[in-house]
Amino acid sequence: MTLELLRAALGAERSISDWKIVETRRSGTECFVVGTKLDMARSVEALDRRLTVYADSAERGSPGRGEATVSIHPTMGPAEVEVVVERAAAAAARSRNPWFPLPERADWKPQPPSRFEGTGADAWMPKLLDALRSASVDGARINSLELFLTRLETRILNSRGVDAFFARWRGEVEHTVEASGSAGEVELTESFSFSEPDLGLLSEELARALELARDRARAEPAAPSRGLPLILSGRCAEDTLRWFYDNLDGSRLYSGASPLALGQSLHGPDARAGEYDPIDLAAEAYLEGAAGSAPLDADGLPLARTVLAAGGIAVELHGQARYARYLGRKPSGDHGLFSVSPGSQPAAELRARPHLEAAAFSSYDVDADTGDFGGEVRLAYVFDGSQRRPVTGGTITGSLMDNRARIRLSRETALAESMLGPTAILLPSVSISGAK
Amino acid sequence: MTCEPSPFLVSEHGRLREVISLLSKKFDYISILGTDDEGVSYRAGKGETVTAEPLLIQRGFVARAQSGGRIVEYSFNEPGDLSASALAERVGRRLEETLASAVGADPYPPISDEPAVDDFRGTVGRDPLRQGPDEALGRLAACRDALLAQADVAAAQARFDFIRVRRVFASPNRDLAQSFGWAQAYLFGVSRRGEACAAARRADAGLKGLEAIDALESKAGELGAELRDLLGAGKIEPGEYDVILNPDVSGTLAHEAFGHGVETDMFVKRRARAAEYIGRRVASPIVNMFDGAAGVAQTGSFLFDDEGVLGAKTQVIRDGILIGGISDALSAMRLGFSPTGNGRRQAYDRKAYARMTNTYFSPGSSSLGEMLAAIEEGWYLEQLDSGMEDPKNWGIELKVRIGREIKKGEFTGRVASPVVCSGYVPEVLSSIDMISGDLELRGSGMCGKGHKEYVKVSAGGPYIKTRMRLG
Repeated sequence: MTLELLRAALGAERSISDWKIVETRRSGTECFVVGTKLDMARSVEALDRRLTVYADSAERGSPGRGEATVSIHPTMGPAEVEVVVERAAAAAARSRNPWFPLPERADWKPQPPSRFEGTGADAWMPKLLDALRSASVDGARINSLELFLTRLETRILNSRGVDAFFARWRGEVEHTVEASGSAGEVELTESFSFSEPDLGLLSEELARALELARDRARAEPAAPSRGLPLILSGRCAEDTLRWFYDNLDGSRLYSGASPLALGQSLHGPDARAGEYDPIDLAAEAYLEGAAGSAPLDADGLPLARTVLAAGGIAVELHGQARYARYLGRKPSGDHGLFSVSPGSQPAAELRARPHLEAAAFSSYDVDADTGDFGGEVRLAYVFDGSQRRPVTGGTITGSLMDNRARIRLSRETALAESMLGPTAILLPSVSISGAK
Repeated sequence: MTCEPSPFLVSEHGRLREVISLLSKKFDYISILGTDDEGVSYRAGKGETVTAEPLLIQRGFVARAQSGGRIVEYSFNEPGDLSASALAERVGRRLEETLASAVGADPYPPISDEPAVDDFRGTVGRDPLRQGPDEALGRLAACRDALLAQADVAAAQARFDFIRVRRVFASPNRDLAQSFGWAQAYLFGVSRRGEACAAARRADAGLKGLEAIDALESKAGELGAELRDLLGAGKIEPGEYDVILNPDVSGTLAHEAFGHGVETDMFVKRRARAAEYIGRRVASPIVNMFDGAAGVAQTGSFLFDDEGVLGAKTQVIRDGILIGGISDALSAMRLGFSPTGNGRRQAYDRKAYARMTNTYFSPGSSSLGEMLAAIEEGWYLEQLDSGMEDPKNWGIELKVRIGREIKKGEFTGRVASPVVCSGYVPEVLSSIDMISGDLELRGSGMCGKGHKEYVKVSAGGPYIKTRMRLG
């Protein structure tokens, strides 16, 4: 089924008021390594096409709009597409949500092309693998790793004239590293994504993981501790700060699930100036090296940096345009990335007082609704004011509702996964159980 | 209602057989898995209803080839209207290019291709794809509104997903087809009182259709009461406690403790300590544990896996002794094991790994009342949020939404939330001293491998009394 035939089928369905098509062509290659040997290689060529149809209605003078989304597989013939489109149109007509417009055609700014561009994924793989394998830390080694590199071509069209095309690259690594200590072998598994062939960064990321495995091998069982603040960095810091970003999503504000509100402090009603670092938050369209960069969102709305919180006060929402419309705001779009501005102190100063710094969890989670966070500790460092020791085991629990009025952010910032933000954050009120 | 096979896959059957025949002359082994999973997702949130598709909807193919011991795969979804010979030429060329990139790969023994021909068609009650959206959207909106009417409830959402799984597998000696459906329905709520906030849910899932919504329709009052309890919940004083795990939580204990821990691709990577413990005691003598696509009917059930191996029922722990693992075809070959039908993919465009299906402890002889009476001071744990495995070091982590305090055999009314449960797997399993006679499998969750690769599974079992570290 070609796009032209699909557009013709849409034109023939009278109950469809508007439509949107998001088409993504993927071309990728994958390597699976066990120990030092390649276990298996894979390649992928696929075209994904998602159609959303909208059906308008008017009840008691109030305009409504329903929607339904379906996959249009490239192997579908005209008759099958007709059935799927009819089914989607019928489903859209059964939903009567408040009306919202689709984005109109608008100018948008292409993002810098990835340096992967111009060379096929197959050709890049040996270089990327070599970079990952070059990481070396005494006493630790790579157990296994999976490497994925995909070129993504996205085309977004709608019935209001949007027709945009852009290409991106997404690399992903999932790695398990291991080390031996007095209690036997230990391991850590992590993953990260990238969009540029920065071979040095890949090697550094693996080396950092190997250092953590080495430290976990020599870690002692964690003792219970009271009153120690918690420091988080990297992905855990991002997951924690993401709670503020996610709760300024229009869909969560509209549904009532978010505890945040525009015009109010992200830090809660009891926050006192000077006791916290105000969170300045922005939705980002492009961060160099981040696989989530995109010039437009899935509705075809051009994306640009949008300030969401300034001085710790929520000033704007982000997310799908329809929710912005419902809440009476100008849509800023559904960004895949965000940034948090630097805090007041260098990370070294945050780390100068006694604390526990969690470096690896079995699974670190932050509950989007309640702000509860925590997990079982695979590796943490305890600093008692003079000595920093690796520890393992035990659990950390806390709530952002209890911590947001005294959160501290480091002055240094870096790209984590989808956030450019503080390299370390300090949460003063957590519960830390010991390993025994 | 019988789940009929995919007309698309039926129409491709002849071409696939011809492609297999042609490529079998070029490679030592060749197979193609074809998928055409269709479905629908309905959602009723505050002020809106939406129809979409669940994750995992897919239509495509993955060809696996072996040459000189090396194994590669090529996933594609645009076969076009090429003749069988032209398609074989294209797929063969891409497999050869991928083989060229796999020079130096560790060779596997020859993939076996024992003959098998079968066609399975499951049944569901009311097929959502035939019923249209009115019933589902209307009932979900009613569930949402009933929950929103409860005191302190700030947000509510009701959701229903249905997937009709349709797969074919072709190799020189295998010709398999299956078509079955599963559904899941959720009712989520968020309550708020001042700065206090709580979230909870009810869910149902199984090899069913629209009837999955039935279980939600009477739950709004119960869920509203639970959300109010949670608004007043405190935190547990960290420490080690006697605990009773409800079937939802005990199933995830099985899943995380000795489900991931006996996936034999982890044995190949030397990532699973269980490999050294086959034939040794790892749990209390009253513990028996199983995994399998066969033997029970839940969301992890199927005729054949994504490598064309027939599903089975595998006993993992017998009377406290670890007796076996669950295998995908490739790790089984490396280890000299028989594959158990656990080679599963998130989709046609992802690799197959050793994955769980339906994982559960088998029932014991105690009652829940007897378990409560046996606890001087401890916690009853329910509403699982998530779990995480640590096959190498045998750590375990379960996050549950609700802990209910027990003192002198009775609930005190005190509620804690959330509760992180952890421990050393053999200690937790060896501390199991009572198992109820119930067996409840719940299929409302997904399982990831590492940080990705989501597949549908179920887990469950009886109520279990053991000892864990809570925080």
